[in-house]
Amino acid sequence: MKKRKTLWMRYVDFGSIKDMLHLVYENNSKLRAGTLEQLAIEKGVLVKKENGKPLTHTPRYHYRKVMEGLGLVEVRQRFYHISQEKRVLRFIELTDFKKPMSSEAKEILREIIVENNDCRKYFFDIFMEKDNYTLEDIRKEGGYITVETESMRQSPIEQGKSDETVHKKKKMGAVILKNTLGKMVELKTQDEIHAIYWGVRLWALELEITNEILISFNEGRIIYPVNPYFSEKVLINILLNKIKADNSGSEWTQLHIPNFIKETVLSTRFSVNKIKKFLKELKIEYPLSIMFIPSSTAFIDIRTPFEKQDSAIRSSYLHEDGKGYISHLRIHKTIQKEVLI
Amino acid sequence: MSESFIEEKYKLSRNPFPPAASGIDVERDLYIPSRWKERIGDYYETLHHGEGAKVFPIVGEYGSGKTVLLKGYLKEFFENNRTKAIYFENPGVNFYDLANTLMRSLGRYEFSKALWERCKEGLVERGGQKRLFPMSFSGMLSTLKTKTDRENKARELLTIIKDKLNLTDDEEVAYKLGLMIVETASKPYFTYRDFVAGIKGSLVAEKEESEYFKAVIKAIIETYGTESVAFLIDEFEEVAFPKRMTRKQTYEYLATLRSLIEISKSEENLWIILAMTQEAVNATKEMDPALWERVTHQEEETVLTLEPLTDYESKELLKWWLNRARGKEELKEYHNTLFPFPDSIENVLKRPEVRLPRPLVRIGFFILARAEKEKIEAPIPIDFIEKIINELYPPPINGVSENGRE
Repeated sequence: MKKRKTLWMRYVDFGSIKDMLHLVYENNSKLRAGTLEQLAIEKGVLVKKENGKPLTHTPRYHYRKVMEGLGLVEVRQRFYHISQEKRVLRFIELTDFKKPMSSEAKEILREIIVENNDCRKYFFDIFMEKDNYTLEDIRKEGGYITVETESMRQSPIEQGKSDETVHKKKKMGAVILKNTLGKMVELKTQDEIHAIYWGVRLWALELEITNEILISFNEGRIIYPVNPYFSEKVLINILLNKIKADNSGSEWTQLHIPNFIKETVLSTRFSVNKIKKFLKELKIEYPLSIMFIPSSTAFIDIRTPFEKQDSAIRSSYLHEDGKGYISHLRIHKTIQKEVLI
Repeated sequence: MSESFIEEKYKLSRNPFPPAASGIDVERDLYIPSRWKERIGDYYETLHHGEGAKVFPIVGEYGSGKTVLLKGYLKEFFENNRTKAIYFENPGVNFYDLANTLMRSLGRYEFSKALWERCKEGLVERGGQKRLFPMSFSGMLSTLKTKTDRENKARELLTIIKDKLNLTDDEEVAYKLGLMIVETASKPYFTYRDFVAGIKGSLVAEKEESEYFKAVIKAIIETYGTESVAFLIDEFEEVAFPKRMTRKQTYEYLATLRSLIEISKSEENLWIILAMTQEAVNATKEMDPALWERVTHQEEETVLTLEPLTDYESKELLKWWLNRARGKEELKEYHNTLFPFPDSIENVLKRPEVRLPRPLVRIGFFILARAEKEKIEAPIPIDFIEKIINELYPPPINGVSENGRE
């Protein structure tokens, strides 16, 4: 068999992958590439969500290749067969066509992705010191990594020039993923960038294997494996320690929410959304001791020159309907007594 | 004429609170908490006698009183300390935005005339002529018929500005100041293009923006007979944001701030007070930590953070506004009272987000407006007040009253 030179991973919707897998299962060993795609279009799987129009050839191709690459299906003599691997069969058993995936099914998918050699080599290995690891090991022992892009290596002057020509530029510069110990993966080609940075990275994010924060353009994106054992008690202790360490002489301690989230995720690896939910609930519980300080989006967006990064930067702020983005948390020191009670 | 309901029942000639509670036409003697005044006094003393940049930030969220503090207190504070205070609102990222705002606030005619008055003595001496009636500014301008006349006069003024008034060592900067004086007749108002260095007809020497600013500050001190100049810069971070800032613009914003701070460190006697939101502080710190250290004198000892008012301060602020509608003799006995609000109003003002000046003023307006409309007897019941506060500033739990009322 001719060895594939390019990577097969691309951004896909795993709900559609699951539905395609059901189509293969129901028509096991009867479908070829064209007939599988045709059936998936007819059944409303390989179609655009916004208008129901069929996906073009390239994404259809990638959906098939992702199923093959992850070992969910096998192609023998050009016909698609369901994999006989136990986990795949269990995944089919736990899911239904066109219905949302249960958490148990998602967990199987996570395991399959983390155990895939290509996904490990280009992405998951950077989080781990050892070579042999499972999904659970990543959750328990994984460290965080940072993303460095070409524009981060440019001076402001060069950046100014590229700002003016950004619309002409189609190719993305090299992306470096590196951990704190110096282990790194450099994604040089467009194929690698699409497969890993816009592929596996987003799979891991959407399946909540990892979470990300982007505090400022200069620091770059931080990706970390999510610790699923969330604890409010740990967060309360972090907050109380912040109050204790504050020697401003004021009755109020002020925290910059993105910095608080960053420090907290680096030490606990809790999910950003859970930390934000915790802060909102704290405000409900202690309305006289907690105050949210809003900020204009214009000033939040100053943290990056790229419009495409705005939503990533804003997601480390709290958002409240009618109030907008909340940049700071003001905590009255009396909360120490209230919380202890 | 019969008394209005508000006067008869609430002992107020009108509702004194402005409805929008933002962009208040700031007067002097506004209510400023004494702890803010004390902190400002301390910073002034420390920086006045110490070395280094005479700059301190005022940090607060929207509605915390930054603008009122700058316009309604600091302007007078500096003027009482022989300092010409100039208020800048949203000055923009570039040097020319700042220069344009400064020079327009001084006024081209007035500033050029004042500078001319200082140069005049030198001109007479140089000409060796004595006049019975010294030439007036407009008289001088009327003699400059041609471009050559104006250029010759500008060159003459250059020498005086540089050698006699010692406003600058830089010939080009001195020439540009001379040009500003002589061209007043043909162009009585400044435009921002006058301060864009490098373009035709600019009044700023190219790549000498800081030198130019120094000379202007010296000129202000000379012409206004003050010891120093204070720039009260409001919303420095909100730098005209029709579009996003590129990295280059961010760099320019920092460069403008840095050059101002450099000037304030030198002997030019420039004070800079920067009003910023919390987010602006964090972003500036991250973009340029060294710059932020200079602004705050390393250990953040000179950052005035505007926090929620205390119970006492909240009540004092409400009283200050109520007093504005108690100028009539027959209302004087209610001066400095909370009436028609109940004395226990602080019980429904426990949530920190309502204990900021702008929300308090807004609450004051709506309580009086609604109570008057519904003909509520004074003192206005606390339940009625609480209902309005919760409508204006909904508590975190929908439908549940939680204002810390005891």
